[in-house]
Order: sequence, then structure tokens, then C-alpha cells
Amino acid sequence: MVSNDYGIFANELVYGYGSGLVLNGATVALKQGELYGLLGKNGAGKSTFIRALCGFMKPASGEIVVAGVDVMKDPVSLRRHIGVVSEDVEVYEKLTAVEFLVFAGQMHGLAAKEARARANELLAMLELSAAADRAIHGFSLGMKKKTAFAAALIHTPSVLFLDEPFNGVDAASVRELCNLLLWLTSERGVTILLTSHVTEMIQRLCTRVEFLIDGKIVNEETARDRYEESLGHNASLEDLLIAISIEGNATRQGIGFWS
Amino acid sequence: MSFWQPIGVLLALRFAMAKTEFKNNPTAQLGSILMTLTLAVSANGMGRALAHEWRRASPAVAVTSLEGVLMVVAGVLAVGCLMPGMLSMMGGLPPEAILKPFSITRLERLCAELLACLLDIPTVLAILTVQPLCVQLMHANHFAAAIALLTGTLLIALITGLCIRGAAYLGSEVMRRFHRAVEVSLVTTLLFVAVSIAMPPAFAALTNPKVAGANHPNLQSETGPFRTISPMHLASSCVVSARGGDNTDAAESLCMLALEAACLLGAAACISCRPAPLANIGNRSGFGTAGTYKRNIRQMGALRMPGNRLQLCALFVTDLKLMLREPLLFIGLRRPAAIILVGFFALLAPDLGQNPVYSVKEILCLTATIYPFLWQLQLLCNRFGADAGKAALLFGFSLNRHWLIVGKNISLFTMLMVINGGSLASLAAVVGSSHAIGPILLRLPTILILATAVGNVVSVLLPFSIPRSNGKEEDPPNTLLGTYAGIIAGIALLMECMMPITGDAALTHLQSVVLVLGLYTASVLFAARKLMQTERAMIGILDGGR
Repeated sequence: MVSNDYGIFANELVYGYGSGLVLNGATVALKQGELYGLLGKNGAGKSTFIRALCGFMKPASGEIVVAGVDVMKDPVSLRRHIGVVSEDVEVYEKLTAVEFLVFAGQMHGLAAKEARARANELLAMLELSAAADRAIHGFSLGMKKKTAFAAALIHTPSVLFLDEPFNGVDAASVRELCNLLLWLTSERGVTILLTSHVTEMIQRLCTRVEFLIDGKIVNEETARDRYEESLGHNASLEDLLIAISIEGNATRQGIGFWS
Repeated sequence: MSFWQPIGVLLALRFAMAKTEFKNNPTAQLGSILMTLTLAVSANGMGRALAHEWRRASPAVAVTSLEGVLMVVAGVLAVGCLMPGMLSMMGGLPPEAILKPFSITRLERLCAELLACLLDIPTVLAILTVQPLCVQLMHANHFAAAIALLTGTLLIALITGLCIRGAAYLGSEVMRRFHRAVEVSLVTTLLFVAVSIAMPPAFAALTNPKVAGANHPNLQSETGPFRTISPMHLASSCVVSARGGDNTDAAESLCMLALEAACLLGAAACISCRPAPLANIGNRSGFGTAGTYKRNIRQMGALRMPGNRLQLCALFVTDLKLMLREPLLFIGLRRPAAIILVGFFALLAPDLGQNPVYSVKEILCLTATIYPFLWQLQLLCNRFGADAGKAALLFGFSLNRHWLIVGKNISLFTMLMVINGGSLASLAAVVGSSHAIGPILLRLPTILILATAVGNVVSVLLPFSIPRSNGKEEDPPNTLLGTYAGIIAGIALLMECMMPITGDAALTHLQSVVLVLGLYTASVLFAARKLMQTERAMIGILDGGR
């Protein structure tokens, strides 16, 4: 039985594309109000892991409980407790920003008036008020990300999954989003699972950082031990991630055909 | 680099794009081959019938009949240009974003556009149509008339191609400028409906003065300015004059025709050389003002769950908005608009005999009926397909899956009811069967509900991703085509079974309503249950297995 203290609990998840295993016994347990950072090289399976936790795909085996809901048994009920910002921005681009947020709020059970009020507040906070009535289609990537972020927050979820949420977002907005994430975890007890390639950000924000290596979750200490010989004791998180990413691959200098 | 090299590259690029579209689109591939072959036979047959009629025709009748045939040729050309991948081998002009980095001048683009018009399949069909008459004229030593006929046909091909491509280009600019497909679609549809209703009597008089004269006496001697300067009339007058030895008149008509083509070319050159593309205007306004920031998000109230009614309403409204704003529907509307154009030219087509092979009219009418149905079938039987790339977003909401299906059904039903009801009522009015409008509108909901019920089941069993990002829709894979054909037969069979109980009596009508609603409810229950089991797999299929 999983304790109710856990916002996210996943045990021994196994999932594979084709012949290879993307998740090979991935296990993670996040307490409520924890801001957790997951790092890994491109194609390590971070997005797949998040999709499995959200109930968007079914792992071959394993156990997942998010916000007290057994994801394997009842993925639909889970949706009202979670907010998701995926790497590929998922928004209806032909709607205006405010239309999309009101729709998202209503679909999560809010009354139209309440949804509109929340949408306006979120848009103001994310500095999107001026573009509220413009079709998302014409937004930049950063603006789309911020709109998706607002949609993920509109129904006050208790767990947030953020997959590369800062891609394309300008520096000022990144800072505001970071402050918001800290406020959500410390003041509102929201559990957040965050992936990003900006290690500096992860290091500054997260209470715990772990790595997804070969389909398994490896904590920072273990990873440091593994690469201690090549990196030394005081290696930064970025150095550690680079060491994990280029393992076994020789670095190349220049382009062969460019003579 | 020579002047012709970039033009050749552009043509090759267009051909490659059309080829890729064919490759990705098996239905279009099959449809194009069948349609091209059928139209080629039909066009040549029509040409032979015309040549036969010309042997004994007076100059006035000769002008009218050739004008009618050229009008059909222009109609086929227009439809061919509107539907790249169906009749057009040369496809559309590559997008501005692709061409921008290369040093291709606007003049070269225009030349490539002209060559594409002249080298395309519709032009070949036009040549095939006039070929028998051309051969006959040469056998009779009317070489000047034969050359005039060929030149006139090519100029008509050029004019029609330029007009249609220009209209399509301006339409896409308007679309990009306003980001609103609804108004454009509505105006386009209304325009075509208005043209369909208003123009046939006038053109019937044009193509068959005797028949029209009985109904429209004022049109019997119609030789107004519109007719005398139309490219078809000029071309046919030119040929008839050349056959009669009146070379001055022939040259005059041909010069007028060439002048029209030159004016259009000039207009096309002006449009393509304009300083700033309309598409950029929408992005000029500034964005983002400081000062609206609030440091802390307000503590939001607890979730209120007023039941599924509100969510259903939100889903219905948003789904309808998306369908109206997405290019998918715009394409869907553009195609019926093209079909209305086909129907319009079918009405204009002269009656050239009882042999169905010689009559383009029947073929065009058949196409006009089948094509919109196939388009709608894809929306009905693949209800979640249009959410490709956004399936995780849609299924990310906690709305009960029964209501999710019902919400999407209501929006599609509303849209198809309006489109089909409007089109069928307009068609009935055009053919003079206004009394049929009532029964059509009464029967349509039953048919649509039945089709929706079947569609619900198929949608969850055989989901197929319809990509929307580049404004193009794909046809389902070959394996699904057989299933769709079976569904057509199934719906027809179901309707056949329903017919005896859909009489006028209140009791039987009530029975039919109960039966239809029962079938629909059963389909929703089954589809929702299946959806809950296969939702995660569907997300994988629709979102590309991410």
C-alpha cells in the first residue's frame, strides 16, 4: 500500500519501443510539495516516463500512484488532479489564448465565469494579457509554452508534470515561472516533476535531482560515484550530465567534408 | 545560370510535391487515374460529337456549340486547378518560405506558373476535346481555323488557370491575414451557392437559345457585352470566321483573346511583384507590455464540479469552433465548393447525344454526389482523427468518456446538418424541385444520426491520424478504404431496412425515432467502453507514438 504522503509514486516501470527498453525498472517516489528534477541525455526516455506517470501510455509492467490515484486502473480520474506541460506544446492553435484557457477550465469542471476570471489572472501573471484575444497560431514558441503552462494551472492541480517547460521562454518569464514553481511547492504543497536541459535551473530550483540512465532512475550521489574518476569530487551538475550523455562516444572536432 | 534553369527547377519541384502527395494519398492516386481516363475518353467523345455536328451546322449554331464545349473545357480546367492531386499533376506553387532563401526572381516564378498551367493534365484534356474538330478542319483544308482553334484553346487554358490560381492565392492570403476560416468559408460557400442559383438560366440560354427562349424570352437574342467578350465566345467566333474565310474577323477575335490573356498576365505580374506580402501585416502589431505582472498567483478556489453538462457544452462549442477554424474544414468546404463548380459546369454542358460516354454532364454529376460523401465519411468514421497531435490534450481532461463522444457528435452533427441541409436545399432549388426541400430536411437528421452511430463504433475501433499542421488532410490507408466502402453499404442497408417504418403516420415515425435513438445510444455506450480500454493506444496512434 502506497502512503498518501507521496505525490508521485512509480515502482519498477518497464516500457519498450520496438526491441529496446526505454524504461527498465524506473522507480521514483516524490513526497507532496517536492520539486523534483529529472535529467538525462536526449532519447533517455524522460518524456516517455512522464507520459507513463500521466496515464497517457501504459507500461508493460510496474505500479504508478499519482495524487492518490492508481494510474493503471483509473487514468481518467487522475486527470483532474494533475497539470501537464509537455515538450511538444499541446494547445488548440486556432483558439485565442483566453478561449483555450476558458475551455480547459470548463473541461476540468469550472463554471464559465470562474474559468474566465482565472484565465485572465493567469494571462496577466504570464504577461500574455495583450495577446489574450489573438489566435495561439500566431504566438511564438515561448508564448505557446506560457499558454500551455497557464492551462496546466487553471484547475489548481496537486501534481504538476513539466517536460522542458522553459524552452523558448524569455529570461524574464523564466525567472517568474521559477518563482511561481517555488511558491506552488512551498505555499500550496504542489508536487512538481520537472525535466530540463538547463542544469543550472534544475540545480537552483529542485530539492532533489536524479538521472534517467539506461531506463533506470539513478540518484545524484550514485551518478557522481560512477563518474568520480573522470570528473573529480567537485564536478558541476552540467559536467555530470555531459559525462552521462557522451559516455562511450568520442568527441569529434570539425566536419570531415568541409575542407 | 541561364534564365530557364530556375524555371525548370521550380517545375520539377512542383512535380515532386505533387508526386509525394500522390504517394501519401492512395485514394487520390486511384481517383486521379480513373478520373483522368474517364474524362479523356469523355472529352474526346464530346469533341467527336462536336465535329460531327459542325459538318452541317450554320455559323451561328457552330459558334454556340463550340462555345458550349469550350465552356465545359474551362470548367474541367477550373476544377483541375482547384483540386491538385486529383487532376493536376503540377501541384501548387511551393510555399514562399521554401523559395525565399533562393535567388529566384518573381518573373521566373510567373513563367513557371504559366508553364505549369500549359503542361498540366487539364490542358491536355482540353486539347483532346478539340482534337477531332481540329483534324476535321485540317482535312477540309481550313488550316487557319485549325490553328485558331488550338491557339484559342491554349489561351483559354492559360486564362482559366491564371484566374483560378490567382483566386486560390488571394484566398490563402486572406486566410493567413485574418486567421479566420469561418468567414472565408462562409463567403466562399455563399458565393458559389449564389452563382449556382443565379447563373444557370442565363447560361442555358447561351448554350441552347431555342430552349431558353421559351422560358426566358428576353434572353433569346442575348448577345450582351459579357458574352461577346468571354474567352470562349471569342475563340469560337475566331474559329468559325476562319472556317468561313473571314480572316479579318478571325484575327480580330484572336487579338481580343490574346489581349485578355495579356491583361491577366499583367495583373498576375503586378500581384506577384507587390512590395509587401499581405501575410506579414497580421504580425506587425507589437506585443507584450510590462506592468501587468502579479507576484503571487491568487489562491484559487476549490474545484467546483457542476456535472457533465457544463463540460459537454464547452466541448461542443470549442469543437465547433475548431472545426470551423481549422484548415481541415476549410479544405472540406473548398472541395464541396469545387463540386458545386462541377455541378455548375455540368448544368452548362450542352446535350450532345444519348450516349453517356459523350456526356460530361452525367460524369460530373456523379462525381459531385460521391465526393462530398466520401469526405464526410472520413470525419464521421474517424471522429478523433482530426485531433492528431492533440489527442493527449483532449484525453487529458477528466470528462466522462460517454459525454466526450456525445459532445463531439453534437458538434459534427450540427456542422454536417447545416452544410448538407444548405447544399441539398440549394441544389433542389436550382433543379426546380423546391417541394423536395421539406422532406429532405426532415430525413437528413435521421440519416446523420445513423451515420454518427456507425461512425462512433468505427472511430474507436479504427482510429486514423489526420494531420492538420500543414493544412492538408490525408486519406486513410488502403486497409481502411475497404472498411469505409463496407460502411457505405452498411448505412445504405440500414436505411433500406428503416424505410418501411419511416412513413408519414405518427406511430411509425415515432418508432423510427426510437429505433434510431436506440441505435445511437448503443453506439455511444459501446464506443465509450472501448475508448476507456484503448485510450492510451489511441493517443499513441493519433499523436504519432510519442
